[in-house]
Amino acid sequence: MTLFAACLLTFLLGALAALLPRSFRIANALGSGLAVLGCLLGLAPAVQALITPQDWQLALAWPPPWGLGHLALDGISALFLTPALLLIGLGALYGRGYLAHMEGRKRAGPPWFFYNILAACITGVFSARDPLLLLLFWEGMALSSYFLVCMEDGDGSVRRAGRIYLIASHLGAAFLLVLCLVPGATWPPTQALPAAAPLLEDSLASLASAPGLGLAAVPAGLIFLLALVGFGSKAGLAPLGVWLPEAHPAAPSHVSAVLSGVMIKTGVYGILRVLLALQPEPWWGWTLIALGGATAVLGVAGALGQSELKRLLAWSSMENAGLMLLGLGLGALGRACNAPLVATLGFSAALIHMVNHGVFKSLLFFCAGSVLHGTGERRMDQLGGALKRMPATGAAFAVASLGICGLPPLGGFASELVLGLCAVKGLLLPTASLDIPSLAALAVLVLCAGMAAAVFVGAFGAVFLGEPRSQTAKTAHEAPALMRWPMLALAGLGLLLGLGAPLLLHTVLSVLAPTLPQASALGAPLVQGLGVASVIFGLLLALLGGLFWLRRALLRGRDVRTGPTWDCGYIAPTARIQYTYSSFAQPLALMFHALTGSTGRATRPWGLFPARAGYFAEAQDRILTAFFALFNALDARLEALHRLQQGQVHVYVLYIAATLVALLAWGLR
Amino acid sequence: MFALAQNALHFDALPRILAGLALCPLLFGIINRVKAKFAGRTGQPLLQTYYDLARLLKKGAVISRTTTWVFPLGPTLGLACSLAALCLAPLGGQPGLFSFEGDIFLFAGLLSLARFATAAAALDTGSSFEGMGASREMQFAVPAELAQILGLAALAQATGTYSLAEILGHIDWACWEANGPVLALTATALFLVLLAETCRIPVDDPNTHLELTMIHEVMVLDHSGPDFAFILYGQGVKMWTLCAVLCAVLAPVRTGALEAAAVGVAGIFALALIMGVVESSMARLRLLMVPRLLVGATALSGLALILLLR
Repeated sequence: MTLFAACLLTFLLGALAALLPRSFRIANALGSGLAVLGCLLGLAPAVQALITPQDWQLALAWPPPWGLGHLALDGISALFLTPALLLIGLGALYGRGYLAHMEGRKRAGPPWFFYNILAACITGVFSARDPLLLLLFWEGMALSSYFLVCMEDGDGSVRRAGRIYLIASHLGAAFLLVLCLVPGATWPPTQALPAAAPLLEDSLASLASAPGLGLAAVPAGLIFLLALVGFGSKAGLAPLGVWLPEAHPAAPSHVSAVLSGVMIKTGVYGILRVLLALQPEPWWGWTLIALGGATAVLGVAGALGQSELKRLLAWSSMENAGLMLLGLGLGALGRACNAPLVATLGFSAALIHMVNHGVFKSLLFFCAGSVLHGTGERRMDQLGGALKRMPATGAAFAVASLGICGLPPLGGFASELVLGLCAVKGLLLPTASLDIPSLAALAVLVLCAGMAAAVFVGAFGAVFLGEPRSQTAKTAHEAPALMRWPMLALAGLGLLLGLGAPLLLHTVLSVLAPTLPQASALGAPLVQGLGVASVIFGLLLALLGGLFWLRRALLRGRDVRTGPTWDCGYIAPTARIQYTYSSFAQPLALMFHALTGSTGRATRPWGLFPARAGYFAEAQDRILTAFFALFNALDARLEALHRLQQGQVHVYVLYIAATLVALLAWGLR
Repeated sequence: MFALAQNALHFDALPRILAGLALCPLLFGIINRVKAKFAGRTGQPLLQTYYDLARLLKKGAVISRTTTWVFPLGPTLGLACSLAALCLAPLGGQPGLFSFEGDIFLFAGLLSLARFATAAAALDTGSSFEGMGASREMQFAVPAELAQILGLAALAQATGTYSLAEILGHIDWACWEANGPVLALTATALFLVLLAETCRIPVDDPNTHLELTMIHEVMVLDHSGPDFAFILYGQGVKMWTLCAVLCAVLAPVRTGALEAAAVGVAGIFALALIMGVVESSMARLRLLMVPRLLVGATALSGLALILLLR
């Protein structure tokens, strides 16, 4: 744990050191170098806590007051922390290459200051054991990421995205404030809440008087709801996750990778802690499954309607957060209904998916950043043919898309398998309250898998395959080595996650064992099952290699010609007649237009000598529009209060005096 | 911890897999023969697909300048996936080479991976027609996959087991007597999925000559020679595999291993016959109607599952 303290201090040191030098290059190297060093220092205790899951406490010789030094690593913290540190470290390496082109335009110090602060705060959130400390780290994470999102503050849309993010994250934090600051609050929360109970008694007396609701049960439910809203808004839970598709694409790509790959998971972490520390009730599971399912379907449907690669990836992050919440929901339901098998599988599915999504989504954002770096173009329908010009980025993107769609032989498949099996087993149990949620979870999972496959084939095809659709796409160039190596490392890790899925599940089960005692025994058959799946993956790769060899052997010495693509006899094809992402996704977007908000307007060719014809399509974010409408309505209603808000100091002093007199009168009564 | 379970590997399945590998091109012959009989023609020889495969394997290839390594990956990965799925699929209720709890998801995942690779290879050519085919294929796959997984989950629930081999091994006459309606609904849904996945009428017409109306055929327009042989053979393996699963539901003969396998093979040929009849007796649906048909299949699977809820 000394190393852990050193890790946090290194991040702080990196934050300050990046601000000092005047030279761009030195600041860039110092900021990223110290972030990488901090991650390496932190990985050692995290991996240690993962191998031997026990409570590793940080012992300080002079503990600061109010529990502010209370940091500890147990299995769950370590499971979240290990991929987080890995991704933050790779993100720092990548960011060094990514920021290099800003030399002369911006300073390198501030981005690295906030990046290191963000790294320290995320590490802190995963290891804090005191509610106040958690809140401080949480707020630090929100603020530093806000400044990172707004790095390109010259752009109006970026400022707007940053503002939406700041408001959303503080609305969420307000609920956490209540959760963490009620007297006697602990983190992770405890079942009884002895000190809070009498305080809450007055406000909850009316609730408690309702038949069937014991007083003891209400505070736990309330804590769950507070955590659901507070943490859920960070995880991207619909409808609170509206900020996510705005903020993630606006940030520089290495930051998007950390936001999507790591920061979303702090929300999942918070909800998981609450679910494991308290005894859940069935309605918790139903709420989580309903909201998680809605988030997943909305997220993937939203991705269908996008035209920018990074926005598409952000919507897909929402989908995956929804799938993680589905896992948590099934786990909570399993605990509540006394079905330990479903609980084990549900929580494991959420945790495995957390790891997989972190790796693959960060990789996808790295690739998107590399495309942006190489072409300067955000719109997919202006790109194309990038695989020839950026081979490493293209290969990494292909691997990551397979992984994020949950296809074998990559890691994503294991999370899909565990979640799906959990739902099928939940269906089979003779517990009435498990039936419908399991069915819903299964249907949502399969629906999302199918749609995600369509989204990512389309995106991969539009950006990397075919002919370039614009001049900028034609002159694309590969990313520098500092950006390439983190991508290739993550792609390799993705392959390892697929073949090593049994090991990951075994680790997850051992991490869950302290709270779910039978976890290891119940999950053992599935570990073996994943072992068989790994053997089949090996067979699949061997078959693929064999067939490739066979193809090459057959074609050797034969007449192999190259020519133009066969376009059915049409002799003057241009790159613009290719299918774009919008046209690729249009049939599905139309099928789900209630969710995607896709609308199209056609100007049809008309008359004997038709002049112009065109088609205009857009997808509106309906939730965000609804939120704007809500806030505008609130604004209009509350306008009357403006009269109180004069902006003149002496009027405010008058308010204070009046309040004091009123209080005095009330006190003397 | 990593020791493989006792019942994970079934080496006795190897002859069944070899039978599938050898016999699957025959399915196209049967379907074409049935269609010819309906039309009053003599028709191609039954073994025509074997001749086609042999001829294609001997040829060279024309490869588009636009393409990259994704283009050859389509046929090879597609065939590799179909072969791996064949290793999972039971024949006549006798287990495949591998089985484990939850392998229904791997089965569907392999088919999905094959589709991903084929669609990516189609987009790699930069042809608008192939993009159109890929788009349609991915769209129709969404409801088809849902119908397939929900159907297999219904079977899992009806038999109380979780691996493909065990599920299909447990479907016998007694199971049909107990859960007849559920099995009938699921079988109907799986049959519709079979038609969609193997690109047969009413979802796709393998004999159409207009690229605008094609789905699968248009995605492989640019593949030639050995690549096209891989695609053709992969289609055959996939059809055999899906027919084997459906046939194990419909023909619950579980007496002896050899007998059951023989009934399984006979059932697969019978299914090919039925597909031929379907192709001869109806036209392809309008493309906008296809999703409705597949959503209908999903509804049937979902209904089967709901009937089983206790």
